[in-house]
Amino acid sequence: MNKRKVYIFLGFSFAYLAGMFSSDIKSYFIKEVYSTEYGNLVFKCDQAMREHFIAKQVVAAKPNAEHASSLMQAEIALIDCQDYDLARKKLLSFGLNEYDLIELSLRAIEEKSEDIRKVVEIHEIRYD
Amino acid sequence: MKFDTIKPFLCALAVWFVFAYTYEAAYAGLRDNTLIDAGKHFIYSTSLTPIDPNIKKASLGSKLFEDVRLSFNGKMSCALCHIDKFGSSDGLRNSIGIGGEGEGSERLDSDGLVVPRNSLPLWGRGESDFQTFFWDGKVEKEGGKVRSQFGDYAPSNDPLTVAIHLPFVEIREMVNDDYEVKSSLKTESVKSAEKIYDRLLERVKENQEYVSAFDELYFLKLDEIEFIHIADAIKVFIQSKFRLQKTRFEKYVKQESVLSPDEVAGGLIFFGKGKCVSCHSGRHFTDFKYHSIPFVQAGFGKNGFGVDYGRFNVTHDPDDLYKFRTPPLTNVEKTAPYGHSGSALTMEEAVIYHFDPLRLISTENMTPLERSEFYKKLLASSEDSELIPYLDDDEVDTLILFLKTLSYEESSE
Repeated sequence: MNKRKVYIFLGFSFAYLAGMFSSDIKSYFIKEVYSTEYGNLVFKCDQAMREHFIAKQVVAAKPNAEHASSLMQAEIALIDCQDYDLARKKLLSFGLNEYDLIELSLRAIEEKSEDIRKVVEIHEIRYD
Repeated sequence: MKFDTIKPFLCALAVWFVFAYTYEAAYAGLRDNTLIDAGKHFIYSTSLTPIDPNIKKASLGSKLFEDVRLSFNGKMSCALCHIDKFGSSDGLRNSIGIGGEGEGSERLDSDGLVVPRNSLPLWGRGESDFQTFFWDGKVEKEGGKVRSQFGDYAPSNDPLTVAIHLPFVEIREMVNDDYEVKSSLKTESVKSAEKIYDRLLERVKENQEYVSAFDELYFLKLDEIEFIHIADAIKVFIQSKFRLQKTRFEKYVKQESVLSPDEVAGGLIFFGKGKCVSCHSGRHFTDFKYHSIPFVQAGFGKNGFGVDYGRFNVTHDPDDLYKFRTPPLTNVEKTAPYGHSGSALTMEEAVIYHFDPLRLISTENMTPLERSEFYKKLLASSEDSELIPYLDDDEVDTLILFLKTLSYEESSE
């Protein structure tokens, strides 16, 4: 085999491999670039949803103007979830799929969790 | 390359730009609309009763406000603790009262007596809906009646007029803490206060310019002038000079101006996850209620030895321990330091004290008494535990950008 044929073979091989893994490579870089930003948004939306749930429960238990006002503030705070949704759409449009986003969410949760109990709490099956 | 070749590409790019712009605009619209609605609901839901202060009375009040003769030793005036460059406060943690010299930090180097509270700014105090005065609300109007240290002998049924009376008879503030005062005037009675008012009134009556002004503006002869007329002139001056003006945020809510995206984001924190508006609501950005924020005590404290019981000093109700009236936020960026004893030097610290005070203090450097007091304040603040938010540092910075939109623009001052 002469030198020219070797180069052509290597070129085709490289192109074939790049084509095969290009999607994975792109996903890897996008995930590395956006993981911190996305993780923060996951946390903020989660926090906003928890606060909103508590505010709703407080209004249900003790309905008054003060608690209704707190609920309105909790609703405004849900704008963080709008940011989270927009980030999801942006990352999907960049070519990430749902599994990639789940992975980023899990990374964020693990960053925020201080011990294994938190991980168990997130992953255990509950029947309620 | 021919144009036909790149035409599809250019068309696709144009469509993408139009889509992106519309998307961004719609999203910005959501944020702006949410913030404008929140501003209308929580802050500007009521309109102000217009006040039209008499300019000549205001001018007389301005002179009295600056006149050092209206203090016991003849060297202290209202203006020395309410200075324009400090947003009508004095720029100090604890004010330096009688005996002090100079402005701001210069007063720390003098022999002035320490007043154990942070000097309050005067913005909006002259508006008709402002009826609760001082950190502990020691002058307030409730049920149509003014409650104050004067008890049933309040000089007026207007809370601002009553509030103006107090610094003139407050020991350390405008009255010396010397032998004469201790032996004859330190009686905690209205009669002692009247003796001081009489002494100050005599000095005013010795000034022909003042006498002529009271004759012209209040139709009073020399023997008819009383201290309440002095207080009234100062009140008109406060109504005139420190009236509420339109802030950038108010202009934004009324759609006369725009805020930057970061300022809008800060506003959404103020009305949303920061829960600031739970207490800082209404035109003055205060609910006029009493809350406990675990600020460390700077200085000796109203109750001495670094203790300040706040509202409890007025009501003697144990539920009021360590509570202070929510401070208004008008021009807040200019009124540092913050808190009842000025322990927060910056707006950032003041915000952080609301939800993460331990970040700002070194408990190991505190005395056991200081730590004990701090624990009690933490416990008192836990009554509002559902109001304590979590904000990261970027959110604190963004919130501060919004707080700066509550200032009057330079041109309108």
